[in-house]
Amino acid sequence: MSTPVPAGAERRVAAVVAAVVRQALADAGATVVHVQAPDTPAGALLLDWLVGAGLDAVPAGPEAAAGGSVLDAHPADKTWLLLAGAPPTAALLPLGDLWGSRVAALASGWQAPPAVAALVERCGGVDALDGALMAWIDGRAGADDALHGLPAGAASALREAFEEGRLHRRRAGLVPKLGGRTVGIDLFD
Amino acid sequence: MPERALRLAVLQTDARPRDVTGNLDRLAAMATATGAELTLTPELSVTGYGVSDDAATLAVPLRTGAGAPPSGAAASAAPGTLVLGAIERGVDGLPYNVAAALADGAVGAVQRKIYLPTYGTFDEGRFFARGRTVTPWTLTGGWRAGVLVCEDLWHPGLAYALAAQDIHLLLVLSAAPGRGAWEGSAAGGLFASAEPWEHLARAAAHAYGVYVALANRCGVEGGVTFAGGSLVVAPDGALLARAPELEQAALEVELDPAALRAARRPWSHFRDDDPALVRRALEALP
Repeated sequence: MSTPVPAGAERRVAAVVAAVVRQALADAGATVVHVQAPDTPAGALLLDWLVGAGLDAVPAGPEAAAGGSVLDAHPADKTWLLLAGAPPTAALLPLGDLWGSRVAALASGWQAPPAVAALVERCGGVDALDGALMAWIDGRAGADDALHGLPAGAASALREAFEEGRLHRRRAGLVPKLGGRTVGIDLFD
Repeated sequence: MPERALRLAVLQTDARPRDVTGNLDRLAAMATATGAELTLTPELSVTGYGVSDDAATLAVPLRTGAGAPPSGAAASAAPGTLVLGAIERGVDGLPYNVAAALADGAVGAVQRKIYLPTYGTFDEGRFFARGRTVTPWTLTGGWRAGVLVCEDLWHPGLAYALAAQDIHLLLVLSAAPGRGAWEGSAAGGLFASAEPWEHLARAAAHAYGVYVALANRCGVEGGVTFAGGSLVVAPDGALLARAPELEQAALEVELDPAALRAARRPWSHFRDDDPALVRRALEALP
């Protein structure tokens, strides 16, 4: 079962993401966004949002135009940032406060680093994994309560991955705040 | 009761962090364009929100009855009373997050923020000292206003303490980040977090028979998008005006003493309220 998308959610999230990216460009004196991983579902979604908002966003790559000053953006999502260890090297992580299951619902597909993909499989899917993480992180339930519904062994593996990301979460790129607790903005630890 | 109507403007503005001159120029121009007698602006509308340790250097003395600080010259030229979100340097040398009324080139009144959010996104307790009292302001035309800064609206005892001092209008300055973009608000807005603000404003208006004006800032600082959606609520709890999200705007409303009287006639709750009973109950707390 996939995550239901509330009416208007994509419009709202895209508007906030675009507003933050626009201000980041202004603050940095930059004019162009290079979107990394543009061929992934999330990368294509991000590119679509930014271009749709009138921003000069292009796929990153050797052929990307070098004119103007550039900020790199990577479409890593919140599930990725919380569990994958080191975040992608990019000034902007515009989808970084959007859960992987929600990206999957909006982009009709989802990709994660191998370590996160393995965790997803152990948890029985990204919806189950994110449901537990949402209760723990956003809902501030205790970890034991939030993760108790996961398959045996999955909860401890998830906690281990989360703990290993503690240092990295302090060094992530700029994440537009969408929800209650945002990587790089709110205290997690 | 006030003896006449009052023209109120609520400015929903962006503020560039630390750009005091630029922010004040923009605020003064917008206030002048409305021509209102009373203009409300958002929390820290003069300095920007996330100024961190610079709060100490951006703080200025704001003594009631004294002249406006030199940086406020542009704002002093605006007509009527301009309520700014500023940083006061107290006589104790500490920075306070305040609402300051400027009129005729002088500081008319100052209300310090009392509850400084220091959780999640917020760090205010690290950079500001807290206020200790709420005191109504006397405005033109016999209007009396209570003033709260952002988080203080979430502590209903403060609105009660002001209402018990016979205010007609509650002014709220805020810099509330938008949260809950995935869920959105029931009214179709960008952020679910806008809903409790509206509930709190309308509840205070309804319970106490006062106008409530809320100026929330817009714009982006870092990854935080301020929600906008400023609003004005009538004394019967009806929503009179709401600003859009994400963009600067000015709401202009005429506040009518007749609306205060009409709201208080059928609703005698606050007439019958007994602050002495509340005082006794509080004093009885262990």
